[in-house]
Amino acid sequence: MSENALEVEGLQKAFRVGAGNVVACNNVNFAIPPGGSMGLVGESGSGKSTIARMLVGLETPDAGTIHVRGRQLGTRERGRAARLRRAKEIQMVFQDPYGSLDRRLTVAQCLDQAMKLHGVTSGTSRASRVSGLLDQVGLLAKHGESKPHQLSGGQRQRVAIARCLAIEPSVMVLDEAVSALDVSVQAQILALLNEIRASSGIALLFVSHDLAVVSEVTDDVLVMYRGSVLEQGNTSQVLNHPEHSYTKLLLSSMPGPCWNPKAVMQRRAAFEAEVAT
Amino acid sequence: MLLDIDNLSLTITTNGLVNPILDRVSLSVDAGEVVGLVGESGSGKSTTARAVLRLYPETAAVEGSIRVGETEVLAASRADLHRVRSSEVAMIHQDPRAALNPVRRIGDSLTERLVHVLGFSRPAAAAAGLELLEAVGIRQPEERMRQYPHELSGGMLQRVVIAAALTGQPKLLLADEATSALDVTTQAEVLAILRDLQSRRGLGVLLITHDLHLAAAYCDRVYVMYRGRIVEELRGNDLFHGAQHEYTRQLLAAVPAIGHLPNSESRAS
Repeated sequence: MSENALEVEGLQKAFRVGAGNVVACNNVNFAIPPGGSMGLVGESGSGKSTIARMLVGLETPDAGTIHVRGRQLGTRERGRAARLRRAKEIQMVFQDPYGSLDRRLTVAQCLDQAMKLHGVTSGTSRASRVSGLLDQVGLLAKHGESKPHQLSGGQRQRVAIARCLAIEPSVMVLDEAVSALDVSVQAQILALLNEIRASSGIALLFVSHDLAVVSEVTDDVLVMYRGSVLEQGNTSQVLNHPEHSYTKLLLSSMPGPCWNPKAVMQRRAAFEAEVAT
Repeated sequence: MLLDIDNLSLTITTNGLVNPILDRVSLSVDAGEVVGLVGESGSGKSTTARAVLRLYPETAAVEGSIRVGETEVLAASRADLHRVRSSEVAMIHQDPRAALNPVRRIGDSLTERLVHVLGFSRPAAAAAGLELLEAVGIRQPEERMRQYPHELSGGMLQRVVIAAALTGQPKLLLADEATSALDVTTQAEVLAILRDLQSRRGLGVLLITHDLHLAAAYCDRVYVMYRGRIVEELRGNDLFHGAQHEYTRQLLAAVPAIGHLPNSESRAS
């Protein structure tokens, strides 16, 4: 049996809010094969970002396990070596590339630094990889000399992706990574991500509120609401033949032909009443 | 015509470099009409909307005409401009948290314009505020008036901002990506409420959005902007199938869609 790039079992996390607990992640299970792609959808507060943060070690799960290529990740990494090892396995791309790039470094310096940190010691081999990486994400050699503020939003997001690729992770977590981009740029980045997973075998976890985006780049999807997975399975199956009333609500909320905001409002009220009972 | 922009050009010169931002933009919004303005970042959508309130850098060179009702905004006196800004046109932005003072109660933010600009007494302003919160579908409005912005969700806050925008009884609403940051179900709710208010009050709405599906489904007419120009004007219903301009077609082709979605019951209401 081939091993999965990412395997999550029984993941659990609650936050204390005031006197009570809010369950942000309730017994979540999923697996992504190498080169696979999974979408995590739901509204704000559904727990999708909490899962992403637990995967990269920014939050500690209360229970459950995370395996990357068969190796279990520790719940709390101690020391530089352990943290670097975890970073090498799972990398994250955020919504706002401007906030995640050091504005004082040129693109080439940024990529160089990531490789240096992860033990590519020879300067010449790093330099040659920089040009390879720029090419891979569709940037020109001259962009290597640019600083983030000289680049457009789409170009910056390409830099953030290149930085992930620089350290060859097994899994890339994209937290709303294309939400802030214009549709034409978004389409290019989505095409790039599809190309990357096909050629490199990196597994993608796509955290997004945008069902249409998720339908374009993922094989499987997880629909979450208030910390629980309501529906899970093949993306086109789930989105074309949704079973859970919440998935249906989400789909009917998307503007498009036959969209009726008033009906969405009523459906949502009905769904919330159903949850309350 | 409620809003009539005719051949509006705006250029900004920095360090001797002439930057054309808007190039002969013409558009109109009638009372009771929802008009969409779509295009990518940097196409000039927000600049156009801000120009309606004469909000542009002092260094900008502006030509053309913007009429709000009977007032020519570009040539308006201080008093006329003040009237346009305070009671004829209201603007709503994307981030409600930036629009509300975080250390003031919702009720204070909501009634500020009524008390300071329109001269209401405080009790009368509070009563009007409650009525407006009810109109935007907020339950327990008395309690909300006493709360602070951080205690409310984004969808709830955006309704407060809409309510605050309506305090001056404006005729025209400029909504700049006003629902883009909301979850889809919340977006639908806020837009349903806005549609309801708009038709009851005969408001004209200029809805700026990058979401083409939304523009097509919600707007009566849609203008497509590209690099400071209006390249096409279409009926909302025709946006996806009637586009003639090459740029509009490219933009539409880039919109992600859920593949092969049959007209399933899930989408119908």
